[in-house]
Amino acid sequence: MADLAAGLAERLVVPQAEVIEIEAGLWQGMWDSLRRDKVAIFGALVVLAMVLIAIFAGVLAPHDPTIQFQDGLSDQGAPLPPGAAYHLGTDDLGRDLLSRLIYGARISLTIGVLANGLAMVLGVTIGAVAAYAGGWVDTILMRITDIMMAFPVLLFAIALIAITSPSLTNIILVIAILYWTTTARVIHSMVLSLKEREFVEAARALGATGPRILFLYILPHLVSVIIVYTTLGVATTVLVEASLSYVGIGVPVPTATWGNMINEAQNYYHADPWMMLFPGVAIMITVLGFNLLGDWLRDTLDPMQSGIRG
Amino acid sequence: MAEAPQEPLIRVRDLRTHFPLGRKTLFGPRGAVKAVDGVSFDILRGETLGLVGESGCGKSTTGRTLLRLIEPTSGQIVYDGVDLATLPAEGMRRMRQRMQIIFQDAYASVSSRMRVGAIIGDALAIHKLASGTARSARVAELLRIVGLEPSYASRYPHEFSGGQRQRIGIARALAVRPEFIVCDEPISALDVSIRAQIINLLEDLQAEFGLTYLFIAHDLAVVRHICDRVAVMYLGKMMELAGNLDLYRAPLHPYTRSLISAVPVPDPDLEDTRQRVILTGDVPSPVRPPPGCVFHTRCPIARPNCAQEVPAWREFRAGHWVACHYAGEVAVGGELADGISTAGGVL
Repeated sequence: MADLAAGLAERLVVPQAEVIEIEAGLWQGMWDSLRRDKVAIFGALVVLAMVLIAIFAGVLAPHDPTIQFQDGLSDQGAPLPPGAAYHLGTDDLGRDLLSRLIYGARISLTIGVLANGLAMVLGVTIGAVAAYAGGWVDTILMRITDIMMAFPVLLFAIALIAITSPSLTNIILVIAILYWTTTARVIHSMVLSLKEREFVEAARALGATGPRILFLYILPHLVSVIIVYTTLGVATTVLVEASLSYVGIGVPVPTATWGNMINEAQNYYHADPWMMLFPGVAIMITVLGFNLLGDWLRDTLDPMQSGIRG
Repeated sequence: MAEAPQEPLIRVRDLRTHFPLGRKTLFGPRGAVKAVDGVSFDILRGETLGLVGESGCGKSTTGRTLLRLIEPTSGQIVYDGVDLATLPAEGMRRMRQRMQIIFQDAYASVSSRMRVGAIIGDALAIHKLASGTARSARVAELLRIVGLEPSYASRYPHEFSGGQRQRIGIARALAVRPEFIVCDEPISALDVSIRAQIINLLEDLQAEFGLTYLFIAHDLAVVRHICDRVAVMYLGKMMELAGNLDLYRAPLHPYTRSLISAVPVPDPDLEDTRQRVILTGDVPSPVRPPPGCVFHTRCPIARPNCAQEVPAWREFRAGHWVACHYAGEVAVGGELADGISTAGGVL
């Protein structure tokens, strides 16, 4: 025993030099990972291209998307096929399809980003607060989430827009109201496990309040999941906007969206297939791009699958 | 040894922490894990009280219940005259400045997404102790106190070794200038070579800041070194509590005796003559603890009445508390026959 006491009493030098080498930062790590992944590069480029097209629509579009050109229809009054004057042809009212497609990117991405962003804010807030608060708050919020999830989404959207009116703002709000539930569920289960972690207990021992623990201690651990779900969610939201426009309750004409372009094309798909083909391809490429980017983000930000610490 | 009649810093009376199992059914509650089941003890100002016992005996739960990190089921925790058990949330939050905790797993107890400066600095922010440059200065000072470079404030926890992380945990606990710290197995997860450093640091800090420690451990050698008094727990109940020397020289409870006999002696000659009291069987379930004395199922000297009557928590000698019907009989070492090491089970 005396030996042990003597050993304990001996002053030992603190090993200051043994600090582990600082690992490459998050952004550096992500950049390295992106360069290695060809598919992810494709996804990122598609997303970047779509964003640039949406921003610079005014410069890129050869014509005004809403003008019905005199020479935009054939002598028989039919839409023109792709050609020199109208590169991707015209629609049934003689408007330039390429210009509408380019301006449509603006609307589709705006809805994709805003509606989805709003849905994320709602979902993260409701999921996190419910899980952290627990008790009856949890029960009420999560039962509301369950009820929302049980509704047939499209029918509910139609009902909501029918009692308001189809406008860009309303569509963004309706999509956000319909699509926060999945996020809420995922965040809810994550916070349930995070709040039992010891660092949260340490924060409580320090006297941190509930909101402080949620924002400063728990939220940073959710960032990677939020980024992934946001990216994947944009793809879903672009499709939802297209569906709403297709059933005729989307952004009202003459504003061009990919969805309402397909809607207008449905009577002409046999004789003038390009009217439906091009917006369809635009949606497909955009959704594919966001999904590929989202998949890569999910893999990269998951510490179990990569060496990068977030 | 603090035997002088002074008002204890913390007075725990009949504390119970039960974890209910599942929801209540139609036929009433489904029972509970009795993690802490009626313990009473005092913690004196400036002392280090050791709390030892096997895994799952409720020693960590006791420590956390004292800080109300876990809500007590019943009982009193009188801290400097204030009963924490009934204190409203906001009052409790303010009291937290006076009491802190150091965890076993130093890495799990800090957020991996916060820099060291933020981890320590947030303690200052929460209690509005310092802001701006004053906060950074205080963080640097705290890092220096625990033996780390002030420049480490800008690094993340994963960049440090286990011992350094524990120092960060200690710096965070010290940030609010507490008077009482629960040390929840602070060295169990560390390399043996690092343990002595952390023990020394804790002792130095106690001397410098007049801290009171509740030192939870299962390593009796360390407890013997650092503690003034030692409490022994088994299955959610206090078995024995005595001054350090008293407990190791003259343990009254057969359980304490078996724990002490399990500590190896560094001297090989003495080690050869060491008599072990080996307990048989496992710790019973804390959901359905045995009736009577909870230890009777494994006790080498249990008699029939041990299975029926709960032994009282009594002061056997001045300052030496024990819960055993036959406490005195264990105190005399010679009474333990050789055959006892293989005995056990229900009598």
